[in-house]
Amino acid sequence: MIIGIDLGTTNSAVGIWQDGEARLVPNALGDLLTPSAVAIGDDGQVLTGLAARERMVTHPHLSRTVFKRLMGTNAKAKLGRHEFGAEDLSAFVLRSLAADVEAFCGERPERAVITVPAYFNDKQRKATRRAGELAGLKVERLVNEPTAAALAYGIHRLGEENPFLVFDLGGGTFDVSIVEIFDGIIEVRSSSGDNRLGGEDFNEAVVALALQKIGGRDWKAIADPRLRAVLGAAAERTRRALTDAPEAPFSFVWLDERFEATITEAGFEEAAAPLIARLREPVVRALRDGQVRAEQLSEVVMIGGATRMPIMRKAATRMFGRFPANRIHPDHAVALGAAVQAGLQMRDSALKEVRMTDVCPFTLGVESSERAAGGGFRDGLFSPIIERNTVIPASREQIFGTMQDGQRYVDFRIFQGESRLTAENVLLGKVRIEVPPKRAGDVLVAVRFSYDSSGLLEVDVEVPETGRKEQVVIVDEEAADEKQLAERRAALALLKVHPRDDEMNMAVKARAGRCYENLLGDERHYVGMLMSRLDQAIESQDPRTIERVRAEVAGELDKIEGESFL
Amino acid sequence: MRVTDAWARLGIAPTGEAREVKRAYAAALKAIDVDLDPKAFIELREARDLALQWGGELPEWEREDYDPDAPWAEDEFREEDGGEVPGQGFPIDLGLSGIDPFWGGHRAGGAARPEAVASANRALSEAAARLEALLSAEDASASEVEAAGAALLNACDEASVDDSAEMERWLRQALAQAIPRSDPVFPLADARFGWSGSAFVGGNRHDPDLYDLLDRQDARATVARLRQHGSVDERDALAELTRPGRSRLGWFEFGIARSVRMFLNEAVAANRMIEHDLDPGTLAWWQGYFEGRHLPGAFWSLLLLPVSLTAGLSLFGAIDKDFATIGLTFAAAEAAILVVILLYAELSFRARKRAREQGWWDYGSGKVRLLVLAAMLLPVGAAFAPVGVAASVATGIAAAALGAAALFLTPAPRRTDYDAVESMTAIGFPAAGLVAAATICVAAVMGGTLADGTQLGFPLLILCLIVSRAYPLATGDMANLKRTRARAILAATGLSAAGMLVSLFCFTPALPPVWLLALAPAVVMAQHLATGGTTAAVRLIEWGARAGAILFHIIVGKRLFEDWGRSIVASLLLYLLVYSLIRIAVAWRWAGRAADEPAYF
Repeated sequence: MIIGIDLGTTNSAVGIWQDGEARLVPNALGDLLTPSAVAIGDDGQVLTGLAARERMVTHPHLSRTVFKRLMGTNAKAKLGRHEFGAEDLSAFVLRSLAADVEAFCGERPERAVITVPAYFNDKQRKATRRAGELAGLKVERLVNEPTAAALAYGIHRLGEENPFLVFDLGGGTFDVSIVEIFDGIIEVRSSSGDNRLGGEDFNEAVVALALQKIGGRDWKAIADPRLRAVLGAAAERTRRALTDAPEAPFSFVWLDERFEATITEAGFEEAAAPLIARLREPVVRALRDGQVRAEQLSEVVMIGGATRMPIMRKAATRMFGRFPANRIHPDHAVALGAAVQAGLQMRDSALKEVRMTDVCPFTLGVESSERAAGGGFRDGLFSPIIERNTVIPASREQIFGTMQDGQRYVDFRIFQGESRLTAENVLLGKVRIEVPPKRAGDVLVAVRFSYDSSGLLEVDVEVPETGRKEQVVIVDEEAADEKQLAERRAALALLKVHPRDDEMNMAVKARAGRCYENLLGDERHYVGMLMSRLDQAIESQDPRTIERVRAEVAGELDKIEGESFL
Repeated sequence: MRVTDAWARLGIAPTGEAREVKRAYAAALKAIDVDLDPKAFIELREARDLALQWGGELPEWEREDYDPDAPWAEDEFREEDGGEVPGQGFPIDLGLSGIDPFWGGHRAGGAARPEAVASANRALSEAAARLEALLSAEDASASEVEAAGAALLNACDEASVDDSAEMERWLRQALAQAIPRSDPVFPLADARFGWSGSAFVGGNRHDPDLYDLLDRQDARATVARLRQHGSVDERDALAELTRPGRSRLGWFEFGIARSVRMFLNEAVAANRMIEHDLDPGTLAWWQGYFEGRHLPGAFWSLLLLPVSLTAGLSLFGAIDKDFATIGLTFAAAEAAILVVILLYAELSFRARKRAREQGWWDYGSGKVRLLVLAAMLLPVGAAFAPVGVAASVATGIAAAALGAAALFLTPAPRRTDYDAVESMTAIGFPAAGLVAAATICVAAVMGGTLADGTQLGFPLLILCLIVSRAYPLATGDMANLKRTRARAILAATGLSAAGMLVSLFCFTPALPPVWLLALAPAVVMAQHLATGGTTAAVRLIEWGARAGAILFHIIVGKRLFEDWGRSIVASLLLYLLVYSLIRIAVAWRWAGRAADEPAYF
């Protein structure tokens, strides 16, 4: 079986293709979304999901969220005695999602389709694939998130002809895609985005606004990760409350002192204006590359949790001159699309007449020089080979010449990006090829870029004259060869993961712990009492007692801080 | 892939109906497995794009009646006055199929403000009209233009995506046409639309306006950088070219001509948009100067030459024997040096040109050139040594042989590297000067007179200088730069040491002081050679050498005339005389020189 996974910045979800439709699989808590969080519990076991996210506030040194932003880097997170990379942390989340599927259908999934932001570069894509392998899943394909959303949306509208636009503002990234459907072909015409813009940035705007109102001390100077976690959680709550009300409280407890401010909708809108302005450029670029005018779009599909904000809908209405569609659940679309892709991958009979083609959302090329007038060279210029929004899989070749008399070898540095200066683009790898020493420009070198449907790049360099060939395996210093990967997988497997049937208890306990920290006086005392009750119930080991008390405690917590959310 | 093949791949007859093409494509796509056979997909996709691009038409070269030998290009080119290449494509597959000519020819219409916007969004069209008016007004201030641009961009933010995209297109044309008045608006618009971030890919790739605007930004950045961190030459050239009014090419200012020349050849040729930052009058004057249309400095020098001669003769009495001797020796030496310089420049230019044509540096010719140079120096050396012409010739030959041996012993060079030559020059000159000075001092200390040492030291100095200059030119190799440098210094030291030994053993009698004047042309020549460099250090050497030359003349003149006044006047006159000659020669050389010619001498 192939499963479809949306590995998100804040939340992840898993879907399967079953009985001719995509459906999401609930986790141990019964939720369709699982927070992308990993923590080390008090007993040294690894926790994922809601419990881990709740512990972020109480145990910031033992928990991690938002690690997707570190994907493809060598940054390590220290959790207690352990050190994990973003790949390892993602692997824990993926493993728990796979376990959810196993519990749901009784079959252990071995293969998966995983979604990545359209703007993920080659390194980040490879890291995501490795995370899948570390979790024991063979990654059949990586799908761009907006493409997945388009699949989820388009699969129900195969008869329509006009292109539509997918507007995906997630926790950490912003993606736009123009999609056209004809004769069962779901064709992505163009994609663009901003991989440093997401719901988290809006939270930061709320925090900045609130702290400015609260004042009192120099908040920015406090580097404690705990404060950041507390503020982040408070901002998320405030932002969600603002969806329904013109103003919302922002409150948090720091060093046993409560700080409060009221955030109005107008104030938030003003603080978020610079972020909103950044949404336009990718939209315009996608429309231009797709050669579509906004008025030709049949619909604007908003997905991603952050698009629930009223200001987002307002901004979209202004941009497109119409109201965006909300026919699809913004948090579920990507995982559902991944499940559709899984169905396509399995050649499911219900999808026999459906095909999807995607594009490469960024430009890939090599560094080149040109002879400057008056002697010398202009170095560091970017020569595109595969241009952005080329349909994938794609394969393009370009010929380059030598620059110096008697040049012995040519160094190719491979870049991704849109700037004409390589210094502003992302370096993906390099290759050196020997050439026969001749006069400048007499030796030609052919560079072929092949980009597969998962968005992974292969570069072949050839000197036709000598027949010499070199192939580049992009960057991958960590060389994901099977043996090493197996070793790392084994190392991760040695870590005890918290038992699945206990996850519910852990989640409620962690939430109560967070509430305790965030309250003062009588309320804090009361939550303390609730916590001891829950502990006692768990110690009794009677499943029915545990369930009853847990429900009661959760209900009380709901009353105190408002409903829990994902 | 040919268009005919594309239709065959899709399995339908050529049609202009995009819907038909898509239907056929969809059917063909479902028949293949993209993951297992990506090649088939790439082919199919290319077929689809070609079919959509050409519609029902077939390109001319694929039609049955196509004659590949027919002179189609010229005939049709003449008929169309738009200058468009007919057939909008090339018979060779350049791998460009699949890219729609989306932006083709949009420039022809001029920058009319978009109509659709004007009717739909009044705030936007008013802002655009205001900016347009300011951009075409000669006297609009930068801040006014900037404010109007910011207002337009704000209006764009409020407008719908389609309107602002339309406005972006217009803005690009309007700004490109109004360079440099549009300078203050560009950074704002760039930050808003991300132009520089996505300049040469996707839909923007063929937009000439964007190229212009970005070049202009580069030009502004370059000028700002050069003002702050440029070399002495670059800063001088900028100051000169931005100054309104007449050029400051004055009496003693050849450096500025070289600086301006380099600046125009390098910075301005690389990016024409820099011209907008320069004063148009001054720029035009200098361009004319380098094209040989006017030679004001040389012209005035020509006038000065007889004037200074007459003045000098009348001051000292027409038939002053010593003076006549000085003048004659001086003129002979100077002429010889000029001939050497010009011949050397000519030879090295030809050799370099040949290297470019043949693809290889002719190493043999490099060696021969050095021998020729050494041989040409012999008469100069002889002129300096009246006591022992034969011994002097022997010294010259020995020195030349040493230099040639050093050169022949080195392996064949791989290429000529002009950067290496420049850095060699900066090191080689002071080194050679030091070595020559040491020769003189040692000769004096070991019992000979100062004159003895000088007599030999100076031909050697000249030889050392030229070797240190020519050696890397002949053997320059970036990879072996350090070795080259060491060899050149070694060769110069060896030559001087040989000269020292010869001077100690062969010459003892004191020389008449008049021969010390032989120093003058040598010093002037060293200084002249030194101006080939570009760094502040070389500039310092140049001015040091000039001052040294004048001072030296004064001191020597005192011994000759036993009168400070006459000596000062005489040395200044000499300086003017030498300078007049050099300027005439250099102006003559530069006039009509091609732009890509090296400017070493």
